[in-house]
Amino acid sequence: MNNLWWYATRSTGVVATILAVAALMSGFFFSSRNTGERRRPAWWLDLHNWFGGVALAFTVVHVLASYLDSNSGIGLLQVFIPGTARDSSWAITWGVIAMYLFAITVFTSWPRKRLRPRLWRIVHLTSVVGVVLAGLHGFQSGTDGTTLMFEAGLVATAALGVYAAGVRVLALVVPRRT
Amino acid sequence: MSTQPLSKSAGDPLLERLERLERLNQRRDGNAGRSPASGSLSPPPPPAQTRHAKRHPARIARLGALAISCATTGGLTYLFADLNASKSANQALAALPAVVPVGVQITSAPPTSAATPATTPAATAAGVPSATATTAAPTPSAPAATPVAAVQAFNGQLVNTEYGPVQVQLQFTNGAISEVAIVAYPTGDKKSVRINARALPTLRSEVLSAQSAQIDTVSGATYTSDAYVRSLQSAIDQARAAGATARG
Repeated sequence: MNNLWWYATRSTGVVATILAVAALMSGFFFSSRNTGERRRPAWWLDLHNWFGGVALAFTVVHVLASYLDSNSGIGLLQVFIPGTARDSSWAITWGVIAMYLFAITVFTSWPRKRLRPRLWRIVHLTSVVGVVLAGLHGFQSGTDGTTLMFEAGLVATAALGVYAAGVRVLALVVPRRT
Repeated sequence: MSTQPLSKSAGDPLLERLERLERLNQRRDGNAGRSPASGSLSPPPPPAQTRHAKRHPARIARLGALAISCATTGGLTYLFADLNASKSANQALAALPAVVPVGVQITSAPPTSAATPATTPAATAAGVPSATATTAAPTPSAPAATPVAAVQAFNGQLVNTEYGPVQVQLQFTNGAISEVAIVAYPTGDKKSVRINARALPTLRSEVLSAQSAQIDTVSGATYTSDAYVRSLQSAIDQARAAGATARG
């Protein structure tokens, strides 16, 4: 049973990272008005919100599974306070910070109208840092961090994220045709 | 009340049809109390499902993403468990004793840092044609290593099973079975490797404690166990013929 928590920790971590990258991509495509003509922008926004919520849900399951795995050395303190883990201290720290950033991003999206747009935007953009930290956390602490399959997947997701970010930045620089 | 619409649209088939449609829509919405006569022929409000779909335009994509995420999690969990099981099986098989050359091996005390081990082929036991003797050749500054025991190794018969060949090697020290090595075992598929990783150490410990081929089969590894026992018995027979042991 303990092994099951270990496998669940690893698999939910990988899926949460992929979902976070998917949320990032759909968000960038939506905000850069680069969503094509096949789907309406509302569709992309809906999907972006969903990806973000599910990524947070999988992150919670990931944290819970690592807490239940008695061999992981993760207790309540390590789950909530960065830098308290004895093994892979930096890696766990990145994971905890990424979890907080995801949570802040998702929970500030609901009362968006109550926040000032600029503040909301800054808070929302911290999720990009969260995704980067989540990838770093997986690379440094994950059992699969050194396997070819994991490295290839990490490079692929990073490339997709960078592509979406590039599209967004390009939309800021290049004026849209009307 | 129900006769009112009929009288209103009497003679006009198009109106009658529209009224029928309106009544149908009202029934579908569960708005049975509303009189068709009081209302106009305005379009009915959209059903609940349509309103929900408008609130979540990417409803199908969301469900698809959730399903893919859950399936990926399950698949990865299975993959990790499978990889771990294979790794454990390989470790268990690697921990099995090594096969030695058939014949007589004279083992000596471990050489000291000054001692240089040297292997010289020699027939040291009568009746064993392919015997080799391994001794430690001491340097003048180091004390001589004392031979501890002579180990005689016999390979059993190669027994073919449905899943692959099985062959064991028995090693005798002072007439007793001191070790059982496995020369060949089914490695054709991952399942066989896993089964053998569990069965072979069990069979080995059974042989070492029983000092004979009278051992129990391992459940779930019947083919391997039977072939193991047959190969083991042939090795014991060879050893008995060579005078290495009187047991078995």
